[in-house]
Order: sequence, then structure tokens, then C-alpha cells
Amino acid sequence: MPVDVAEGLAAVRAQVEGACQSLVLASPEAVWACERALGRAAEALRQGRTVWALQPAGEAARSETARLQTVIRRAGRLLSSASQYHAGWLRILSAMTGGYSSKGEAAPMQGIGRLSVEG
Amino acid sequence: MAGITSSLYVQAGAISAFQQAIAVTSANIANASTPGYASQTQTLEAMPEEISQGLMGGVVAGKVVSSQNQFAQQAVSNQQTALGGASQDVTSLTDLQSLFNVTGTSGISTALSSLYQSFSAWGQTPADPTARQAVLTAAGGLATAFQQTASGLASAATTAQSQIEDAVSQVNSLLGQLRQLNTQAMAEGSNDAGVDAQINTVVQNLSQYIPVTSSQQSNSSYTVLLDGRVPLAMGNQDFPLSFNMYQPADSTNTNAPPLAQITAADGTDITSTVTGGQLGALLNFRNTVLPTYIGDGTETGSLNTLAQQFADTVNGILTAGNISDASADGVTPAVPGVPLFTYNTTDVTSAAASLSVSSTIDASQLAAIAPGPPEVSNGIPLALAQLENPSSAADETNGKSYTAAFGDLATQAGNLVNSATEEQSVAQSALTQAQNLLQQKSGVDLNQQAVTLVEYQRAYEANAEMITVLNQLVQDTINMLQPGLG
Repeated sequence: MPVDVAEGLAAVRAQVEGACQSLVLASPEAVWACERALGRAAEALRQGRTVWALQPAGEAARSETARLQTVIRRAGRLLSSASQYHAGWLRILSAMTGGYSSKGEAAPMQGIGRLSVEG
Repeated sequence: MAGITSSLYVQAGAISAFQQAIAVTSANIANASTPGYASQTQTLEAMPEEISQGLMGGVVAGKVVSSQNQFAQQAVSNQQTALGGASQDVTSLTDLQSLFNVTGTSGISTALSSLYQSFSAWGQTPADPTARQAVLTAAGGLATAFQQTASGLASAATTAQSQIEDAVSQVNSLLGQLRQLNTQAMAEGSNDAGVDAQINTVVQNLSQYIPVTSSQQSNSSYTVLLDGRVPLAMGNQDFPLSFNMYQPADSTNTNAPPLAQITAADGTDITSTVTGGQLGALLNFRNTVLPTYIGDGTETGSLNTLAQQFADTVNGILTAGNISDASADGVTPAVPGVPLFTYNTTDVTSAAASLSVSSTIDASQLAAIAPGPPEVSNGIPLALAQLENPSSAADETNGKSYTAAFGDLATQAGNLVNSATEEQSVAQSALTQAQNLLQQKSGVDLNQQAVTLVEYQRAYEANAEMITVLNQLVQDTINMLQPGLG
């Protein structure tokens, strides 16, 4: 972890930007990779804070903090849009497999089994 | 004999069904590179077998299930709308921001600074004709700067109006294409993948302008609605939008710039329904953002308020002063000061555009004497110079100096651009994400999807927790760094 505050924050931002790229891909593997990248960013930030508390911080650190907040907001938005998409698709799948409840809501997801008979 | 006939019938049905499946596969291959096309799957339906009831079993071709499902397409449409709106916001607001330059050598901020400097110089030599003329020149410069900014805003309004007209025209053109494609789809029967792809492309283009929802009907046509409510295309019909400018009925500023209005084919005002896409962004810019500066039927506009209050304050100080003292014998009375600025007082929304230096004032008529008591020979220019750093509420606007108030207008415009730029960047990523999700949807069976969705749910929950942790850590970091930030 860089001792310089701005450099350290930039390194954290790079991790979060990587997470954003994974969220854009939105495959199950990429979404898990996103979680790992965010975890590394959080850990780096946690460790950095103990070092940066002793360092002078100036305009560069202020700007880098703003950029980091922007990219975290972006990750949150991409996570939200992908999550909403799959939640919506899950409702449709549930309705396709289980129909609707008496309240008009999609039924809980049903397990879809297959039977193969030979001979 | 019946058994042989039944068997032949069943096999004939199966051959027919598989021929259709082959046709669908061929269409998939033929349209592999067609924009907007996604592969389709032929389903085979088992027929009931009950010989005693005359039901002979076998398979028939069922409904073709398009993996280009409407849900995934709708997600892409929604992101197209978001990107269309954000991109238009960036364009419109960047133009707006350029009118509020606070760092250059021109504009209101610079002119205001020059006028304050001329007041200070006049205060040093109150009787000097050159210093007095410099005040008139600087006042003229400020009036011109207000006029130019107001003119720039009026021009932005005219441009937005023209762009709205163009956007409505584009929407109506696309609706016309939809009507033709719907007619073709209905005539050619169901499952014409090529027509479906063309319709999807038109719907995606439409989504850039307005928020739409589309759904395929049993007759193979697509119903397209604005915001899920207002019909735009149904069957072989389209419902074009109309655009006009109008003055709201509750307007008190009857000479104010009119507002843009969008009406549905039945004449209903649907302006408030168009909240996204390029057209939504233009309507918001024209009807909401610009009026905060230039006013409308019910509000004055911050630029007009600033021009009006500054002119009134300067005029008030000057008219409280005297151009010359009364004669010692009291025979000749003191000559009071006259206003420096004029503006159109009958239309509050044109204060900035009409601000000018009074045509009847000359340098010798600038009142320098504050009558007191005690009388101060340069009291008025000093009071005017004091406006730059006011010490009383009477010399402020909304609790701020006029320089700071203008700075706020510039900051407001800058913040709008920054937000729009960030939104545009996110919307672009979200669109790519939706397009990726659409591709992932194709060809995946329900079993696999069920497993995948469970994985997604777990991953999203874990990610959401991480975002929360990160936000908290960043906030803690900001608090920790705050004393050292400079």
C-alpha cells in the first residue's frame, strides 16, 4: 500500500474500476470476481487508513477521494441494474414454472426436473 | 388397419414438426449477423395418446419460443433511454455552462469586478471626469454582459425548441416504420424472424428518444407504449406525437418565454409523461432548467433577479446622494443623484436582457456626495465600492454579495454538467451490461437458468455488502483526512 494518500486512494480506485468492468460483463463468474475485487479494495482502504492518518493530505488527496466516491457510486449503480434485471427475470421464471399465487404474485421458483426413460 | 393408419399419421406429423424445426434452425443461421436478431427455438408438443378416444399421440410443432425474450429486450430499451437522456443533458448543459464563465476575461463576473474597481477609483478622485467616465464605461460593460448572457440563454432556449421539434419528428418517423413493419408481420403470419429483428431495431432507436415498452401480440404485431401508458403503435396503426409552445393558464408573467408541450395523437398533454430519453432531457432543459435562469410564466429567473436587484441597489445608493451641494445661502437647492441603470420594469423576465445604462445620464451627473450628516464628498462611490464586500444585508442578494451570487449560478451550471457527465458514463456502462445480459439469455434452458439465478442472488448480496463497507470506509477516510485537506 503506497504511503502517499493520493497514490493509495488511486490504487483502491483501480480495484473498484476493475469491479465495474466485471459488473458490465455480468456473467456469474464476473459478478463473483467483482465481489473479490471489491473485497480487495476494502482491505486496501482499511490498511491504508492506518498509514495515511500520519501523512499530510492535500488537494490531490481530496480530488482522488472524490474520484473514488464517483467510481463506488458507479459500481453501486451497475450492481443495482444487474440485480434488478435478474430479480425481474427470476419473477418471470417463477411464474413460468409455478404460476401465480392467490395474491397475483409470481409463485416461488419451482425445481425443474427431467426424466429420461430408456429401453 | 387402423393401427397402420395411426402410425403413418403420427410419423407424418413428426416429419412435419421436424421440418419446421429445421426451418427455424436455418433462419437462425441465415440471420446470425442480422442486427437485433436473436436465435429462436422450435418447441415440440407431445399429443395425447388414447386410441379408444381417437387420440393417436405423436408430436406436432408447437409455438416458436424466441430466446430474444421481451424482458431482456426491454432492459436494453430502458438503458438506451437512460443513455439518450444523459447524453442530451451533457450537450445542453455544457452549452449552458459556457455562458457562466467566472474565470475568463469576459462575462458578468469580469464586468462586475471592473465596475467595482471603477467605483473605487472614482472614490479616490470624486471630481475627476476621467474616473467618472470610467464608471459609465464599466457600467455599460456590465449591462452588455447581462444582455449577452440573457441572449445566450434565449438562444439556448430556441435551440432546445428546435431540437425538440426534430426529436418529435424522428419519433414520428420511427412510429411510421413500426406501423409498416407491424402490417408486414401481421400479413406474413407469426415467427418471421427477419421482421421481428427489424421491429426490435426500430424500438431500440425509439428508446433513445422516449421511454417505451413493447410487447408482441398474438397476431405477431408489436404494441409499443410510451411509459407503459400512452399508445404509440398498435397493430397496423401508429399514433404520432405533436409539439407546440404554449403559455400556461396560470402565468402571471404574460410576456415570459413560452414552454414546450407534447401532445398525444388524441390531443392529450403528455409532456409530463416524457421523462426520459433525448426528448425527455430536452423538455426538462427547456421547461425546467432554463426557466430557473431566464424565468417563465410564474418565475422571474435567477439572472433577471440578479440584474434587477443589482440595478436597484446601485440606483438606490446614487439617488440617495447629491450631484452638488445646496448653496450656502440656501437659495440654490442641492441637486439629487439620478439612476445609473434602467431596465424593462413591465416584464420581470426581461430584466437582464434589457439592462442598460440610462441614456439621460452623463459623467457629470454621477452623484458622489453622501449628504449625511456628516456630509462626505466621496461617500457614494465608497458605498458603491463596498458592494463588492457588503457589510449590511441591504447590499446583499439572498445573503450574499452579487459576485458570490453570480458565482452560485456558475457553480449550479457546473454541478449540473458534472452530474450529467457522470450519469452518461454510468448509462453507457449499464447499456453495455444490458446488451451482455441479452446475449447471455439466448439458448439457455430453464434448468440452467434456475441454477444461475440462485448463484447471481448470492453474488449480488455479497457485492451489496461490499459496497456498503466501501462507502463507510471512504467516509471514514474523508473524516480522517479532513483536518489536513487544504
